[in-house]
Amino acid sequence: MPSKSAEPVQSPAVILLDEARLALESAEGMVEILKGISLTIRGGESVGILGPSGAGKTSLLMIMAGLESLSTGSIHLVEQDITKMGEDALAALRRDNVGIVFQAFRLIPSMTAIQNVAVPLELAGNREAESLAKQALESVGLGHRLTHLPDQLSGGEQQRVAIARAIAPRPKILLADEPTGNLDSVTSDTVISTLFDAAQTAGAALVLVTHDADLAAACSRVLHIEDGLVVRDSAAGSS
Amino acid sequence: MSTRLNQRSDWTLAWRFALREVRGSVRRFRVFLMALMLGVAAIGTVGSVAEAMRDGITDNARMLLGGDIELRSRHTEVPPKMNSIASALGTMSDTVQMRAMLQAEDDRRLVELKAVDARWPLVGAAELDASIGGDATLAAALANSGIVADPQLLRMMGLEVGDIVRLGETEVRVAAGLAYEPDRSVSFISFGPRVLISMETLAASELAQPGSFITYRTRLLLDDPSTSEQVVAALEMASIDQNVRVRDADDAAPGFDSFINRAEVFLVLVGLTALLIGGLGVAGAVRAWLASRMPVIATLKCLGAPAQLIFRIYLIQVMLVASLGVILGVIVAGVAPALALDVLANYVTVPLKLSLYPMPLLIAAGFGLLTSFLFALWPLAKAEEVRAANLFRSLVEMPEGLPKMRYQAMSVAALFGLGFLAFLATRNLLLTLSFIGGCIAALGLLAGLGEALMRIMRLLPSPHYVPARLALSAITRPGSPVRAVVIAFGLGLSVLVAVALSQANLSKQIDTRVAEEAPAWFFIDIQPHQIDQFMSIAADTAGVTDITKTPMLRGRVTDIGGKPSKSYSQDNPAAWVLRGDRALTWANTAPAGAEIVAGKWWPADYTGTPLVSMSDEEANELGVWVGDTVAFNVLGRKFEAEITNIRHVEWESFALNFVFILSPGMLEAAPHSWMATTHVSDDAAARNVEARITDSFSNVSAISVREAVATAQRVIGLLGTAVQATALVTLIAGIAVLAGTVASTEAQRLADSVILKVLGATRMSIIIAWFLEYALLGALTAFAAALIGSLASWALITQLLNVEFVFFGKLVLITSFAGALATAVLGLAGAVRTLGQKPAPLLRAG
Repeated sequence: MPSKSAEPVQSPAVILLDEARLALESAEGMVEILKGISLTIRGGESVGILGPSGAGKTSLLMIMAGLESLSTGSIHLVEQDITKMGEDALAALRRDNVGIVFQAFRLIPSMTAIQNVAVPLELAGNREAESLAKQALESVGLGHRLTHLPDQLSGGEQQRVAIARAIAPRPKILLADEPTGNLDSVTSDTVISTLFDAAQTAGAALVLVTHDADLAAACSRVLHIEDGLVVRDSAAGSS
Repeated sequence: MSTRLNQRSDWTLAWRFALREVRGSVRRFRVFLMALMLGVAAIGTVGSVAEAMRDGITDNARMLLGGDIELRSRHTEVPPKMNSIASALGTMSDTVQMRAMLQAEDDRRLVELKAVDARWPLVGAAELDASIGGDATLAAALANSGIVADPQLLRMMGLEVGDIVRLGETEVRVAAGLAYEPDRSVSFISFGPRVLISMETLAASELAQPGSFITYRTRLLLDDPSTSEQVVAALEMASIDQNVRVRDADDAAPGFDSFINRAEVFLVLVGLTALLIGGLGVAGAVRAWLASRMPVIATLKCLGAPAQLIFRIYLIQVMLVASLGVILGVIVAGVAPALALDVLANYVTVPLKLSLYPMPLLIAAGFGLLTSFLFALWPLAKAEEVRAANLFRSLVEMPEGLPKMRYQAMSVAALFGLGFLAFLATRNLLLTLSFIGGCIAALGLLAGLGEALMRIMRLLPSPHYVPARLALSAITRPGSPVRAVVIAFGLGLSVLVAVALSQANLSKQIDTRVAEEAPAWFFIDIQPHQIDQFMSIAADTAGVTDITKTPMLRGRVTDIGGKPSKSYSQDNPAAWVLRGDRALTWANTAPAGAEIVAGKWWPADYTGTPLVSMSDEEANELGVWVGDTVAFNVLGRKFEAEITNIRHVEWESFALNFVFILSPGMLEAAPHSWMATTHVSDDAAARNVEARITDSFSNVSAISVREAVATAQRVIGLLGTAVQATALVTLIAGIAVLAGTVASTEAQRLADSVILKVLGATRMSIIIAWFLEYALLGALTAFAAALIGSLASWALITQLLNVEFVFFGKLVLITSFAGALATAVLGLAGAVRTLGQKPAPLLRAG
């Protein structure tokens, strides 16, 4: 388990939520998922989000990734108001500033490890996509697995490729949704170390959704979510 | 940022991503590939074969025509005035063609006689059949009353070289067998085998009687072929008011050219139907494939790929696979004509030129690519709408609903593109529009029927037997394949039912009419001075039950309804009436049983200015009626006749039918002959009357109705086979779609089977449930096909051919339910593969 990183007080806010509300339609009518969340996350911070199933943790992460639009309230990512941003502009913003790590890895099965990592760089038109992807893979200890396809890699290796893909464009925000949910405990430790190291090296804010209180405790800040609300924020010391 | 994004999301990046992914995808597109390949191959083959025929005709035009220019005259020789113009311009050769009876003891055969002069043929060379033996050269063979005959005729009559047979008033010697005749006219039908004789032998036979149906041809090989156009113009000027047609090599096989065009249009449209059915397979395959790519698409979006890039990545992949299918189809279409030409050579005398024809292959490829684009467009457009947020929920589904406006507009543009290609292939706008309309209507009808059947099934009570309940619920659940299968498989099956039923009806019509109405013989070329004796001999022959006779000669319609014949469109269904020489007759009274639709028949003793009775169907089609005039040119003499009545004519009957019957007084003086029919009680009487008549009149030819019907049946059979073969292509395309549907539901089926196994279902009960599901699906499809196919056949038989429709229930049942069984077996075969999966790993994977 990594050690807590010190909070850089002067870093600029990379995620700024103001009274963020999210309501989605279901068979029973509109369901309010997030009920007015306001918070600020700065560059270099590591934030663990804890809470029971259905509390709204993943929805909060999706909002932070610009993958879900708010019903009311506002959200700023890297000092840009994305509340009413179009889909393609959001995609561009995500490509350049947000790295995402999924519980199910979400690698593209037809692409090799290096090709998977190069995707966001290629999307950004980076001419050195391949060499940067290689560096990213080497930084997560997979320099010897560059041309392997996902199904030729172990679960832990696949997740490390996913981390390399997320950090390769040097994002300001790194979002991870249960990154060890599909891994055994030994592999989980390796992956989490890799994730924290990668975020620290990139100077990115790391937001981690987890059920694991120990893992959350390793973060510089822990948010407890229940029923669509932040009930405790360790940074504020409130409940 | 967005400017940079637009620059990056260009086609190059899309290509790179697409190439990385497509390798693993080709396997999923087997159905797509097969459907496309079939459609493209069918269209390309039809176009290539038609081009090969047209090229064969063009390349051999001078040989087929027998020279650079041909002067043709019926009944009378080409006038000396025209011969003298022609003789100054090059080398001339004359031929005379007619039908005649060749008699060897008691064996009499109708033959196509051709008398040639010493210069024949001007282009190419006749070849003698060495296996028959006899004279080695044509000149030697035709000298001294020699005949050169079709080897098949010699075999049928048991003749050998040196045998003496009778032809008209002379005896001739079998001199050689004819292996190849360079100017043999291009057609599917011939009334008898060829016999070549010299002009001297023709004169000795005394067969060329005034009024007999004889075609005189003078061929001209120009000293300077570049003057062909001017010479044709000069000869056409000289032929005004003459009974002579002038043709040059551009018009070597006019009737056959138009036949090729019509057959090509029809077969291209059938091929296109197969391709459109295949298109449904394309849509299904692309949808299923994209469904499996949803997580990848969502991941790409998460990583910052814009929607348009997603669309392009997957469009490129679809079009790459489509290109593979199209290339395979084009290769088949490039090779298939070699086989098709081999088969066709058994039926048609046209020289076929085997080559690679780029235009039809390009059109077929265009059809393939555009169909793929059209049918893949909607699923592709929906794929770009995938919500990346769904990745967090492990539920990435294909979005529902209509795609964005720009993709709807692209669909319309692709549809127009297909219409344009169809127009290029058929060169007939009306037909193209009718085809597109017909396709939309047929698809709509099948879709409606599929929907209706599904709704009816939903109303049925749930069966107690569990496998049956599972089968029924699989059919009636939302997203069930009923509609897709009924449309795709049902269309091909409907065509097959319609063809089988129509063919059975036509055969029955012909058989019944032959049995009830057909005379045993048509006797032609009876001279006016022979007719009374003919009638008495025929009447005195035991077993002859009925004899009819009518005078006949040929003439051309130069004007009708005040307009020149040439001004009528060739597309007019009655254009044939105006195109060549027409058989004409005259009568005092209306034919027995004739139904006068309008006007009145002239008085029996009428001898005034010429009047004419016209058949109703052709009058309608040409837009003329009682009171209008028709101008004729008979043997170079022009006259006008007023239409005084319109008759209903049943062309499909075996009576002596004429479009025009003139009042007496005008034609009697012209050289003419008589035609007669005899009905007999049995075969012995038939043989007897033929023998007595042809023994008495050596110039009279007897045409056996049985043989003529056999020829007609052969042509109908050939057309039927062609239609059935193309219907099979549509059916195979339908099967491909069915296979695709089965494959696309594989994941669902696997999940179902795992749950059922966990709940204690045996493999057998699952198999029974799936068999019932596909059997039910097949039965519904068969029902729809039987209904639509029978309706189509009924419309064709009663509305287009105006004959009585007979419903052959057993035939419809067998045809449609063979399709149902195929559906059940194929569906089950595809589904059963998933049964081998063990439940545990799948359950662990969640």
